[in-house]
Amino acid sequence: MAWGVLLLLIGLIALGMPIGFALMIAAAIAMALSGIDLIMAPIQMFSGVNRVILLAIPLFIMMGELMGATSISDRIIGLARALVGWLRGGLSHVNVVTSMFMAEMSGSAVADAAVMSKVFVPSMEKQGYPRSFAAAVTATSATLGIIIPPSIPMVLYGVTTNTSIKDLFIAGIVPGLLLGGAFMVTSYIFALRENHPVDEGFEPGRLGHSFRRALIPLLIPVVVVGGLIGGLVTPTEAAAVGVVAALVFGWALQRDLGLKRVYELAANTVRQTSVVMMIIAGSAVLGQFLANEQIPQQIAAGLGEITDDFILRMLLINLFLLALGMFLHASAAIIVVVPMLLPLSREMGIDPIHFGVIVCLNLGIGQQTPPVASVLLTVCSTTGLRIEEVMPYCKWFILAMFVTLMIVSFTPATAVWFT
Amino acid sequence: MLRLLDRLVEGMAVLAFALSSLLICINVVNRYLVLGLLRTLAGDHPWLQPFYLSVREAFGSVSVTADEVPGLLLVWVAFLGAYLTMRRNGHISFDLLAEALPAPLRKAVAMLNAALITGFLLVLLWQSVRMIRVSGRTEIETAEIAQGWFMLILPLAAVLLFLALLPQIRAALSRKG
Repeated sequence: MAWGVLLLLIGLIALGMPIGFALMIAAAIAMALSGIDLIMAPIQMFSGVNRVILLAIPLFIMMGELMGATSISDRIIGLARALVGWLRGGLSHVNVVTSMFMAEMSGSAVADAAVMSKVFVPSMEKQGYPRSFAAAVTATSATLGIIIPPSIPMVLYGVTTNTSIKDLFIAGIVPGLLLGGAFMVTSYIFALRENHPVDEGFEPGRLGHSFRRALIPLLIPVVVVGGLIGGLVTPTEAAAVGVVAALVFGWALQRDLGLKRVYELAANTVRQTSVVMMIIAGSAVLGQFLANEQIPQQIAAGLGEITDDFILRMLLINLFLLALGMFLHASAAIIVVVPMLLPLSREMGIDPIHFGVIVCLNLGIGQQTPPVASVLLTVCSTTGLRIEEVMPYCKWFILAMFVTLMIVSFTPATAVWFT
Repeated sequence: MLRLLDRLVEGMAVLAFALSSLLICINVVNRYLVLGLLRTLAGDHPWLQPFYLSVREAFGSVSVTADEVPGLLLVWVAFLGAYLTMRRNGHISFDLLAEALPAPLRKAVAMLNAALITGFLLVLLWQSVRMIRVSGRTEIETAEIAQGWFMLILPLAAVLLFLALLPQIRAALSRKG
């Protein structure tokens, strides 16, 4: 019966039904067939979303939206240029470093990619970089948005698995830096091979000036993540503080934002939030049913029976998540599938925090790999390039992500050392 | 007509989002500024005591709801937003297989999806009204407000989502093939 419901769910999703509705409909049919009172459907939907911690998601989205709508990105780019623009392939490194800074301000890779591709692809092209290379660097480095805190997928993972969001955020820092480093090494290799130019020479005076201009924007995420890590605020409160700080910066200090613009950004936030919340509402109904039928345990046992070897099991989990990421959006994959993998990861002795970082890295790669490739597609649609034009470069950056994933998977200390 | 509804729903969703965010902020301000800084100041300067007490009273009465009401308002944000997103056909779906189908089959699949969603929305409407009748009168824990007021969003969302689905059904029907 439960397996039939899972098949029905896969069938509905394959037929193009919105995933949130597919979850709700599969669950309602399962309930009706099992003789469970259908009043449980609205009850589960209501209680699934009615959680203050989930408010962190729209608040982090709003914080990113506000930051994107102000002059913050210009200031961050200025600082990144002064920091790493003097390296060969300067603008590629500036692109990566800017994404690392922006990742601190927004929890969404798609949002970062949309902003960064408009800024970097034309300016890199002007300096003689191939357009497709510029798009590849921009798309892949935007993935840092879901690894470096704050990260919306990590909030979702924390809520779904009852794991500390604070620890997840701390755990994302080193893997995020590793990933950024891997992108810079890849960019440097291309710079040597294709003779990419230096952006501008290193000048301590300019670095100091850029740093002063970027100081306040850089302080916002420091306050947000610092307050959370220091235990002063909850994740939801940290996100709310971030929104207020971004509002004060954009509205009062810089006068970049008007009331109408703030309203538009809030409306946009509401729309983006609802996409995730419908999946949460749907999975709250179906998840309860599947948990009663012990489906996650059966799946874990099935995967576990394939091999006893830790390394092979870890590779299997990674392969499964990579394949999943190719077809499902990160939020849907975390809410729907991660609870099914958690018993296996526990049985293998993987720390749930470490597992959360592994999940996010895998789904980050999924954001670059067709058919779904949400981030890559965002960059392609902004730049007017086709996926097959970007892929010759993109595949090497994806390889860099895979190498980082393997390092993080088999070296738990990279994630849990500081937690 | 639907555009007017869009603006109304958008306004309600933004208001619910703003209110829930405000409650979270008030909680932080209350903890650190009122019960922290202001209390210390009032301890050192007795003339500040009446001001501190009145501020504590005002913030405290709102702050006590901050552990519950923002979550309830989030349900409104989520489902009103779901309507707005549905109007733009923006909910996450896996369209690759459906788009690869021949046109007549694609149309049939779109109609099947619409029919299933409509059926579910009818169930949701009926069952959520039942839910409100059964447990809507119970007050929430932190304020004297019946939880039915917050639950009202579910039947409302069922109707709104159906309205948002109608243009999509019309578009699918008028598609050639």
